[in-house]
Amino acid sequence: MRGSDISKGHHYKIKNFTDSNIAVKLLILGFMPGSVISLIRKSPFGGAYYFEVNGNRIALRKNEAQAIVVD
Amino acid sequence: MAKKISKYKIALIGNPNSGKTSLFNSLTGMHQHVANFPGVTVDKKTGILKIDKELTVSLIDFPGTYSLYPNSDDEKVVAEILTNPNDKDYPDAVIYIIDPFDFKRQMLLLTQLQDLGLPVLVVLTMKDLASKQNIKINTKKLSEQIHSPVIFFSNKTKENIPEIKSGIKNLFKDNYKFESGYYSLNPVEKDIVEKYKDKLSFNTEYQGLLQIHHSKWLKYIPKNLKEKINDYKLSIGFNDISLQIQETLERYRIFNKKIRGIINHRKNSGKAITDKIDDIVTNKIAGPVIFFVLMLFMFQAIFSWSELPMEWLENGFTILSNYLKTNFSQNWFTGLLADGIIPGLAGVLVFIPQIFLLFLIIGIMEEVGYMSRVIFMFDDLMRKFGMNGRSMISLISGGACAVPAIMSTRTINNWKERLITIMVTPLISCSARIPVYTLLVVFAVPDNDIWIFNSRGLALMGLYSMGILMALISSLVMKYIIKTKGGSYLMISLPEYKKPIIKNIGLYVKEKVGAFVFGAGKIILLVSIALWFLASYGPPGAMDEARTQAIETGVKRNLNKVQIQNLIAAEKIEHSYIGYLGKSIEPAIKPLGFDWKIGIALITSFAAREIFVGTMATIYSVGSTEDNLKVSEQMSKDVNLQTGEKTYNSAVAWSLLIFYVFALQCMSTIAVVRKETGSWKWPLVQFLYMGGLAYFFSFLIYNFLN
Repeated sequence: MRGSDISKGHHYKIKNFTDSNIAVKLLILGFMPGSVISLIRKSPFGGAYYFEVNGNRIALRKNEAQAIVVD
Repeated sequence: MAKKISKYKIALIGNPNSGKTSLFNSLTGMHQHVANFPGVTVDKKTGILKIDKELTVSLIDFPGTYSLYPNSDDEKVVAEILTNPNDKDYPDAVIYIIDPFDFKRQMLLLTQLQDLGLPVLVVLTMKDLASKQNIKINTKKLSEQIHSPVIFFSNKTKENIPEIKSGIKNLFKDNYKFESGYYSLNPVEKDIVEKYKDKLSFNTEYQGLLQIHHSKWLKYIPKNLKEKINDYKLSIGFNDISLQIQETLERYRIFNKKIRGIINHRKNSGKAITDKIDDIVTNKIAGPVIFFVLMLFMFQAIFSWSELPMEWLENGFTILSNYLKTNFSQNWFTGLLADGIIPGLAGVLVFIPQIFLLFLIIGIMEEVGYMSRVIFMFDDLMRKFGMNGRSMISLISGGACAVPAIMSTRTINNWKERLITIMVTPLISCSARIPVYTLLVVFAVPDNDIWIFNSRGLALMGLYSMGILMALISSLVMKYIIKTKGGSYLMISLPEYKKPIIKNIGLYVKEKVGAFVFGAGKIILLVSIALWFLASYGPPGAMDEARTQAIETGVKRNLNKVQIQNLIAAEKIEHSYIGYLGKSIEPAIKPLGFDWKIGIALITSFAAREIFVGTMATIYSVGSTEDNLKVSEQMSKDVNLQTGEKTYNSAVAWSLLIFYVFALQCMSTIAVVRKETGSWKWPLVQFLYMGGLAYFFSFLIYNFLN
């Protein structure tokens, strides 16, 4: 499953990333294989995602969230 | 370290939103100096900190960055300097600022800095806020683990400043040993660093690795060396991205072990305050509604609160100008001051109250953490128009003045999105258009009510909407024309909400207002001198003739002294260079319904739009009083000599209004766009496309109404 498919209120574990160009940037922001990720909400127009990762709040675009593989 | 000069350079480095600027402000107070980093439009703030009698250090506030692998121009500046020991801004030591709410992630950059061989003092910020939320950090143990002194700082009480000072002093003690070596280079990396170690100059292996990794864009690496490195990289299979990923993962692995048990976050029962606020503020429906209501209040506040101070400033300048005229001999210099420079500067400076209020409110929104939520909410919408969530802030600022708004686009990391934002921002009606709108709307619409609304109020709203609509349409068109350069990312941290610190906001506002005054001020000064010359002098003989003519007419009509003076002024401007200029462009603007008098005002208001009103006042010999009522009275009496119809009928007024909505009638904007885009190409394109829109729609409405 991808980061863009996870449903609200559930916790997932990050497995790896599909796009290395996005992955380097996500890693810097604290998205790590093994990190716990949950979706808090989507943006009003649905194209951006508000995540909580390791207790930090971070917003990603849909394509950025798609690069995250979760369990 | 035995350095003769007692002035060390210390870099303040930290993630965005880490409280870095706040600490910088606390340490340096008002002793700050803002400039640009060489060659780029990235702000470089420096300040002086006196540690004790012997030691004074200069602090450099570096742009917020997540890592030494940069993602934006701001971050590139940091990497450019920190990888180059020969850079003149290369620091002697680093103060690394960590936001305790997001502790782990920030260890990444810390270990990178230490691997550069730089002595690091770690300052954790927001102590008070952290303890309120039960975050406990064992600073002693942390300091042992990372081999750097650690201080937990409270921005509120500032009680640890002496501790920070002595921490800085200790960094320079000869016996201070910094720990280097978190990350050990893998064989491929080692090989390439070894190969180029004579050609490059670095302090540690890791610094050498970064130079090689970034060699493509680092400015200090000569071109032929870049090519060689690149070829070698290809031959040994040095893959920039995958090696960066490996390094990052390795660092996380190392420090995750080191910091185990150091941070203790006992979560309060129930939701954190930030989450509760975000439930409402970023809600699908309530979020955008709250934002627009907030914007409505903001502009309401900007325009109503600034009314009085603006009036004072205006009157102050008029008094000053009149004082000069009555108390000093009437020579060209007095004229230049009283009729050229002072009114020109007044044109800029009267907007200070509005700019001040705008950035005060934006500063508060930024400081409390609301702005990143705005970016999150509107990013996808703005992307449809080829822009980015961050463009929202620039477009809003454009409602007050395009100059600071265009400067604020620097936070947009994608060039195309930034360029589009720059190109459309001046279409948002700025405050300099208001005096023009209010003068002309009188001729455009009769004063009556439509249901509960005043018709002129509705017309004004229509003009504003037209600007916004055209900005969106233009951005859509540009989205398909301008070529993409580089990737685009949102990836934005939504920080904990916090109470604003007044000093930070004060310094922020001071910086922005300063940028406006000096950015716009210089240009306007030059242009107003040029315009004054063109309006005060004319072809030899013509001006004197105009003068005698005016006096004759005045005597004939039995006018009093003041009236004659005004008549002279009007005749003089008609026969000045600018008068001829206005007449010479008349054929070009006639299809829009404009005569040479409007032509003159179009030219003069190029310095700043609101000068239109002042020029009209001069042309219609109202004298130098910038009284809207008097000007419009005179304008309404003006009759076309050939047709006998009124010059300012509603068709002309609408045409002129629309011209002012769309045309890029502002020298300062052109100058700032030139500076921000680095070439004359884009300001020229912008001037032409906006001019084209203005001409086309003015022509259309004039012919439709006439």
